[in-house]
Amino acid sequence: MQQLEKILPQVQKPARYIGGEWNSVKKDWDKAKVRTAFAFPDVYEVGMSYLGLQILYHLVNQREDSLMERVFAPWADMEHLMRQEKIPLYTLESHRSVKEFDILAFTLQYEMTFTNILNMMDMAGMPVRSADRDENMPLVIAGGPCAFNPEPLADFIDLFILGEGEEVLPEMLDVYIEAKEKSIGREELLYQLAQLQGVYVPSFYNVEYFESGRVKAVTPKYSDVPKVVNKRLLKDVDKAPFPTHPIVPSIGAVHDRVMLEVQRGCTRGCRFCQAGVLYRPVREKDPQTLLKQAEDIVANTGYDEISLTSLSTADYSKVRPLITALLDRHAGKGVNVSLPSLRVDAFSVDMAKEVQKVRRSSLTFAPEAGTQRLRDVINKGVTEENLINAVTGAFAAGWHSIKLYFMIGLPTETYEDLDGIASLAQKVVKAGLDQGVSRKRLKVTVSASSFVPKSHTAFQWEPQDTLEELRAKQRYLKDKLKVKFINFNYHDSATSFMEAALAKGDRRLGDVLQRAVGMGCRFDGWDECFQYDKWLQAYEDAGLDPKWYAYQLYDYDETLPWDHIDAGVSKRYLAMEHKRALQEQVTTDCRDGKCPGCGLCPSMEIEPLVLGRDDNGV
Amino acid sequence: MVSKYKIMFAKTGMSRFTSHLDLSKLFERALRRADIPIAFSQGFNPHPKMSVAVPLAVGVAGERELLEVELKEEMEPQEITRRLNEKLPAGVKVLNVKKTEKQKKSLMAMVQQADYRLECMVTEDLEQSEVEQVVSDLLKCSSIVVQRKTKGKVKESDIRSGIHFLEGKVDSGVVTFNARLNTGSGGNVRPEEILIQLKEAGLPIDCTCCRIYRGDLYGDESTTDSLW
Repeated sequence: MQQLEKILPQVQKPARYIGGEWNSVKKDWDKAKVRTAFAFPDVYEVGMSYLGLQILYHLVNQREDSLMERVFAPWADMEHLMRQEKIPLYTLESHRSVKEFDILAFTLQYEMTFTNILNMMDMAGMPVRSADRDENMPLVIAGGPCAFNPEPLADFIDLFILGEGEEVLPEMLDVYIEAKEKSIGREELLYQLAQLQGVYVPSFYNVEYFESGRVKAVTPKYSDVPKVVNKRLLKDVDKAPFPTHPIVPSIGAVHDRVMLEVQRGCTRGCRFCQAGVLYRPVREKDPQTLLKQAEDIVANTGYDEISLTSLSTADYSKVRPLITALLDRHAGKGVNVSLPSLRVDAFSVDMAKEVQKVRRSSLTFAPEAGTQRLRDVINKGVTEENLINAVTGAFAAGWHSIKLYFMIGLPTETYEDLDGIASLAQKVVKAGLDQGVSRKRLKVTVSASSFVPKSHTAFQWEPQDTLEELRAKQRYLKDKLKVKFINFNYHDSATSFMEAALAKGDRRLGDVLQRAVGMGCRFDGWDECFQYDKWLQAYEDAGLDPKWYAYQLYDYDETLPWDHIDAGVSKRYLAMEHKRALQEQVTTDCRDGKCPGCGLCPSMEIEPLVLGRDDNGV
Repeated sequence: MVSKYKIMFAKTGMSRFTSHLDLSKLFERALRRADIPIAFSQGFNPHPKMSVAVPLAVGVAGERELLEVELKEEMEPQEITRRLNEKLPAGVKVLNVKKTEKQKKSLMAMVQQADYRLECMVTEDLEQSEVEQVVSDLLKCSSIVVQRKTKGKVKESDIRSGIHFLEGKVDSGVVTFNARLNTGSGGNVRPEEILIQLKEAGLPIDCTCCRIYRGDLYGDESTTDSLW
């Protein structure tokens, strides 16, 4: 590709676009019966930090009859030159045009990457709408957390995969290969794929609306297409294929280290958290499995850091003995262990002490809300005492910089809760001073993000705070936090407003997305790229209002735009959780055996797998 | 007992787009994968004792780049070559390894010059005599001032004294220049700057379609031996 060599010297970070990394797999194109391009709709450094990519890449490439290659969203400079030189979107492994693949598979991690999905199809020379693509075009599929409200993308994606992909993706490939051998047409192929649990083909469903604009019903067009599509999940995460030869990125990725997944799912039940519902139930891996995997990955990658990843690693029953065993085996070779997230308690600080011999970076805690009342509303089982104990321990152990994450705009929030954020931050400062942290070095960083209600959570019926309210709250906090030792960080809430409209959106938003892309919206999750005025224009041109979507308050008995997508937790339970939230009642963690009755385990014939706390060696 | 080695490697093909910083990481990881016991600095924040002699601009291929590394124990140079080459990604290859004596100066501090080869497509017919004329005229200049952007500011810089050798040969639509240029902490002449000068002097070359290769690295001006 001579043209490519010509443009690469002209772009920032050209190594994003070349491939050839250690452990990347380039298979014989002609020997593969099905060829899939895995597309991550953000830049290389972000996409390469995603464990799901590594898992699926190796899963598919281990099959004799299949190959998977990767493609990421080109940054604006590269897009400009590719379009100018007429270079179509290509994969990193074989530098082939994406259009030549059988399947183009997008991952949906964040609503604000949706414009990149459309743009990537356009750069590949494909019509963005499914209806405009013929059988010679790749089958376009998508999975990941945002597939649980896939409706804004329904016009563009041929099928969505709901839940964990390790089993359903190979099943899909089998169906695809058979269909290809029998020369079965696209519609029939989709029909066959729709029979697999976890597969949602949006074109097989009619959406009816009330005059008010709300969804009346979503009904399948064919009798044997499921009315409600259930998610997939792995029964045995411990035995599941885990990539022991992950690709080592050629340029510094956001997470450039061994990602060792210690468990899947989280039992905490925070009411704002979508991942907590989507990845239920919790399934812990055996520490012996993890030790073996860590050893293999370190040997195969040469990384000097092992990160214990999961939604809440401190909750993993065997976390303490696992850390000790990992350090025993690897510390001598200069390989460290890290914890990406800490629970707000002294136990977590003890672990951080153990893994971080040098106190170079700050410690981060997420109390999420400023008062006990609001923390009870969101079911974040954290008290002020937990936080003060944790930070006191951290300061005593030598850290001098603490980051605190909060959300603003949570349901029922008042200015008293904002005052609570300011007062918590000041108590943390006081704890630092009491512990004798140098006044020159003491730093408490408060970050406040704007709450976005998500589908399949207890807050799915809730409206987002208006943009004006969110901005007023940010100004209020900024004023309150003009205090020595405290830094306050926030982003303009316009992005969160657009995110909420898509997260709560329905199928009609496809038109808005297409118009936004047409006006040049890309990388909307990046502050420097986000163009709010163009988004508003796109809504206006489509005759729709983002406020109507983001600020919608639903009743329990209304049909939600995503009601035909089932994450396993019953709507009845979510409604109960919502009511309990408004009554400021907390719900217990199911980790200790008390089942709050979310309905997932009986409906999916599974049980939580918790190994039990035991701090002895592994 | 710490042993010091010098590694000569090539960084060609698509890997020429790997940056200097990423290349260091790449070697550090390859050494670990190859189970070669790299030595670490002392102190609170130990880092591997390894350094690439001189950065190579992104997009320029290196044919005889140098790297210094300290190991915790002695190893046969051939063994290091073999093991590393098994663990390096496409485009990066170890050519030779030798054990070095304790030196006062690091390789990084010694590099002063490098050989470059610049291959350009010509955009119209070009005679060898024209190339020779333009090159000799350029070398006759007592100063060659170029503009450089650093941190948003444009600075003027005279590169003439940094050009030690330059010649060009035309062959079937491609003109190849060989040059010895200042390289390293003591001052840099960028090969692209030479190309721009040659184009401005009238040579019909397409600067966006050039391939640049770096060859041997040199230290003190008084010696013609490379740093290898």
